[in-house]
Amino acid sequence: MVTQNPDIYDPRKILQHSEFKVLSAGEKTDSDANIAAFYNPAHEIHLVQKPKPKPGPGQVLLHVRATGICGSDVHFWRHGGIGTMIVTDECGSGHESAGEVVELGEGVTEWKVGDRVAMEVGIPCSQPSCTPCRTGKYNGCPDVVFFSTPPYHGTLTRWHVHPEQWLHRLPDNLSFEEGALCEPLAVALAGIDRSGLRLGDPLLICGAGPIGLVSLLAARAAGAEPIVITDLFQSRLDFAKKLVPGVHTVLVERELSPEQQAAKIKAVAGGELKLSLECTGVESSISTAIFSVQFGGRVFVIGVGKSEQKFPFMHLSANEIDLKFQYRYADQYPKAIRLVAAGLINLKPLVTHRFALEEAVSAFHVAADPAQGAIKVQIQD
Amino acid sequence: MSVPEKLAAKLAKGGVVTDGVWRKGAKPNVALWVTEDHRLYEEEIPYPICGPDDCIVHVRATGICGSEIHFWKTGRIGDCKVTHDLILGHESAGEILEVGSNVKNVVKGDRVSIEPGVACWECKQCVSGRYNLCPTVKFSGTPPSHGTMSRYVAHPARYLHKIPDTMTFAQGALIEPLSVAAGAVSRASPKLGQPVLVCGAGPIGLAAALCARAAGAHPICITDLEESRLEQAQLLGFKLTLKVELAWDRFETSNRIRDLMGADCVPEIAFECTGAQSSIASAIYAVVDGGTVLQVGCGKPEIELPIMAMSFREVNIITSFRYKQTWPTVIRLLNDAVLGEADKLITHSFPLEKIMDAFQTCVTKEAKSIKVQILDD
Repeated sequence: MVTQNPDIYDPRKILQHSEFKVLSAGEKTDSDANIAAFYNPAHEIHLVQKPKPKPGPGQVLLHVRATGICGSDVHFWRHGGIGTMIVTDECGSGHESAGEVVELGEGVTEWKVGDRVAMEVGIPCSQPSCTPCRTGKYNGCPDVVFFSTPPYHGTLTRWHVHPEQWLHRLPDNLSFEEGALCEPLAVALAGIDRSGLRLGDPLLICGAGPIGLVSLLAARAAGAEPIVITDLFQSRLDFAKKLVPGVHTVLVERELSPEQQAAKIKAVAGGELKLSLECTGVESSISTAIFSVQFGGRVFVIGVGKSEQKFPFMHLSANEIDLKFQYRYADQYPKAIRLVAAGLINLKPLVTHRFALEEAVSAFHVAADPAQGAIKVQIQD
Repeated sequence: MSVPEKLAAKLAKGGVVTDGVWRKGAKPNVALWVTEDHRLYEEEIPYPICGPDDCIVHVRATGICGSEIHFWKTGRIGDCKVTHDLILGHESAGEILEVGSNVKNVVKGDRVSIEPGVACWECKQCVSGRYNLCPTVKFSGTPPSHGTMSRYVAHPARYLHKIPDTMTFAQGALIEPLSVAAGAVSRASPKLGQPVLVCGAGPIGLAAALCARAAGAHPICITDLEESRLEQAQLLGFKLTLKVELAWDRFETSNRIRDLMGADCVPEIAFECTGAQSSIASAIYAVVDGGTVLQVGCGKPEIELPIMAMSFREVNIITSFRYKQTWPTVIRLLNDAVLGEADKLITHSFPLEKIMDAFQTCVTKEAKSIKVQILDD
């Protein structure tokens, strides 16, 4: 271990603290109590109360003002793990956050109290001996502390201590709500960066959930045309059409094979598709994308899904189709903020449900229930 | 009636075949010619012969390019010289009147934009997809090949691209200059959110800025010597403009560009659309370490470059020549409004009968023209 981060952010220090307690449903707390939404290996979700932290050297204390709920938060709660990341203890949720600086640690010169920031929650080691960090791909740092990936507690809380270098200033014209949405936007922008999307490229986006929709907004801003988007739910496709009126929508039919689905998609596109941004991580959808793109095309997978999947090997091979992947993001926040501030990407319509921090458990239930029709559920304090 | 020998010879020199018979169209086939000694004149030519792979197009709109002005006033661009009377024109759109016996991709009545560079499709460049580099290309309106500034023209069908009903012929004639810009932009691949500099706010600079903006580049800074051209840029929605003074050296210019764009937004690509040595040098100093200068603009055959400044900072120059495979994409982008209000590039329109006035407008500074077009009903 070459950095102090795993020790500084050691979750056991919180869990073993005398002031840490799991709250029962409806238990009242003070308005400045450091409550947070936690889940555990028994798939329970509840509010907890934590001690209010103090910022150490190079850290700031933030009042977290907005946090979006991500599908991964829901998945950790309900299924206890994603890939090799397993929930082994009480774990705090949330990583899509923006907040306000309320206290400075020793030696902090970059920020002052009152500054409004978006929080980049993946804290890499940044050591020269770490190849990913040294070569500009810090999203690949094996020693990263990513708040809300077990065991590290997340940012869906009231008070949170954060390294000063991993905060990004919010311009006055960006709300905390938009600042928190910069995290999923960073995911989409990282994908678009590495996907090779170019002006005028015909594009297929699989999935009209939050990541598919943010990718749609970014792809439109990048001049993709035409854009086709798919989803299992008509309501999500309708939402996509409201966001980007020129998009072409295709409802996925479960009885159709991926080849049949692809034929429908190609007909709607009216020509060959060069690239697909796959935002579901579902095996059948990835196969559909593979059958949809042209010779030499590319399927770029942003979505996360089952650990083992089958894919149409011969179709990929005989058509020289690339299958490429994205994991989190590196150096995307400044660009995300710049694009939102300049109006090239409008995130405002994405937040469909808002809850107070005290109602975080209800928020999770809404986020987890497709019938509620939520796109992005945010906790705001 | 037969084609006079002198005219037949003039036409033949530029690749237009006649068989001696003077065919007539519905209206006179007026054409605009340039001479080796810097004169422009109008002379009627016969209605064209339609080869088996050609179509006859009634040219309904043609834009005038800076290169045409240059061929007129100086007689050459680089090694390409006007050595015989030449019909100008390469930015055209029109309606198909007749199709050759082998033609399958278009029919009579189709409305098309003309791609002027007719490549051989047999050489190494063509076969590898870079047909813009074909050494034996016949490029309309560039010596030695006659161009599209006549009422009726014959052109190979594979270089005629259908335009949607919602697109005007004037817009169809913009596809060529927009393709130059789109081709340049695709050589540099500006990305969503990337800070970009455009040097020169003439038609190509403005078109490049439109394409860069459509690709999501941001912020975009445009420079020019002329305030009126920057006003044109502002009208197109580009707020970040800089009027360059000739008195500034490259350091002053590049510093002012970087100041304007902000310390977090050092330009990563510069689309150099002037061809002027001083502007190229400024662009080299303005771009970020590791950045790219994309040279679109044409200028003097030889210039001086600050090569060690480039080397120390790994700044590259990538050149772009014309375009390849751009028509279908640019037509789609223009029609679906992805390129914004590109129409605003057209500042003056003249009927074919007033083509000489159109050329005069291009060389009259007070007219403040960007793209001048000739239209025919």
